[in-house]
Amino acid sequence: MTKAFNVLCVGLTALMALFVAGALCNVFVVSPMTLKKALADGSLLPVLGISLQTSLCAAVLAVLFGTPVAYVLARRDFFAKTAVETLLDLPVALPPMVAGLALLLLVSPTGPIGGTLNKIGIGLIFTKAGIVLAQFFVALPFYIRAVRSAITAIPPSLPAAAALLRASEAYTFFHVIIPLSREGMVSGFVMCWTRAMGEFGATAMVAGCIPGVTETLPVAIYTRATAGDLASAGAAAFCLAVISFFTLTLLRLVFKSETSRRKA
Amino acid sequence: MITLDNVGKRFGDRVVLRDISLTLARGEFSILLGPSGSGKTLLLAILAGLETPSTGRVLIDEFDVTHVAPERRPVTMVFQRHALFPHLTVFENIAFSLRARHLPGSRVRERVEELIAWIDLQEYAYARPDVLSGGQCQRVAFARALASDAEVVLFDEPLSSLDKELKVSLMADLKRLHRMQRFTALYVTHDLDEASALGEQVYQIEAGRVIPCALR
Repeated sequence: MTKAFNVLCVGLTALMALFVAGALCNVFVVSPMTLKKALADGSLLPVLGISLQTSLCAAVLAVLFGTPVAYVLARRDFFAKTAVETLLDLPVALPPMVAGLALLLLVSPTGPIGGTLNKIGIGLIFTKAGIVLAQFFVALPFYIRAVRSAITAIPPSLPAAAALLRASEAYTFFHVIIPLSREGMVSGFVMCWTRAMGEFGATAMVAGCIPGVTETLPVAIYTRATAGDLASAGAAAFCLAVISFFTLTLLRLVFKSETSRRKA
Repeated sequence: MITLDNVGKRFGDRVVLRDISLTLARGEFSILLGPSGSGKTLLLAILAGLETPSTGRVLIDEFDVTHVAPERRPVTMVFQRHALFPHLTVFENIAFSLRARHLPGSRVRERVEELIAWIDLQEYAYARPDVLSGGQCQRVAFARALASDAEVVLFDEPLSSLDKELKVSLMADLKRLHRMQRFTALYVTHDLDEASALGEQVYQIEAGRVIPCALR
């Protein structure tokens, strides 16, 4: 029974790995000529640049806003906490188009926030700032989840000890909580960043697709594929897949070496 | 002087501590004896401000601190499992309280070096707690508590997980530190040997009440 169970589990693992590899191999196997051509015509580099710029901005914003939120959710009990948690998690479950429409209504010149911003000359629709907003909205829950788990894992005796050593809550946050949740913050940042890099639906709704201005890699893949330019779409997909692959591999290697250092 | 005035604590219908009145004189080393689950640690948490009593008051030098946050009380605690910050070195752990109070760097260095010399761990000053033995960690925890300059030091069974030989040596260290600093101490244990070796006053917690206890 145990042997059959093991065979079943290992077999399913191999099957799932093959399924993912099979689905992705068409993206990773791009002929050097296609890639060279796509890079040579100069249309792919700005797209890559916009994607990197906006996704990094979104991930940095997630660190700035998400870390205190994760801290509150991990360490405080308050009225309607479950409702707040569900609300903050909602962008993960929400179809990206719905998220995009919600943001569009919020920041459009006739919307509650967009109207005010418009009066002081700030427009978010069809701008890079709009892309950052959409990516931040969709990717933030990934960061909050990772950091919240890391903070929850800190033994309660450590913040208690800090308080009894006369450290204010803010001092404890910066000198105990943040350093001890560093791994969660790094993995949250990477997950948030890769999610932001791959964001399509909400970005397209808020920022559209203006070549050289608001065209991100996922939007470029969609527009080029639907226009029949599969080679160019493939090159863009290759860039996105390679960035995600190397980022995740690097993250795993960093954590692996950290774990072995601790064991040693 | 620290006073518990009719302190009680209940969780739902379960009464853990009832009407505890106790006064610890300044500079005295008091012991609180009691079996596991008797509420000893809870009583320390109430004194430290980590828990709020359901009834009664906590007074320090006649000031009511019942609802004062832990970081604003002149109280510190040595935990059973030392609770050293794993990402900081021995030096940084001891310096934590001094730096949190924004004391000048030279003063921090001077005080930390003095305390490290007292606990005789100079060669481990820049080591992290994960390379120290249990006894060394507990000595760092003692020094870290003293660096906070708290008037009251609470000890939550700090030697319970150590072997007998090490316990004897650490009890001697503790007595020496107490003679030097004369802080007010409340030391919780279930070990009669520790109680008789360290205590100037001994109390016992029984069925949620604290009563004086004579060991000698």
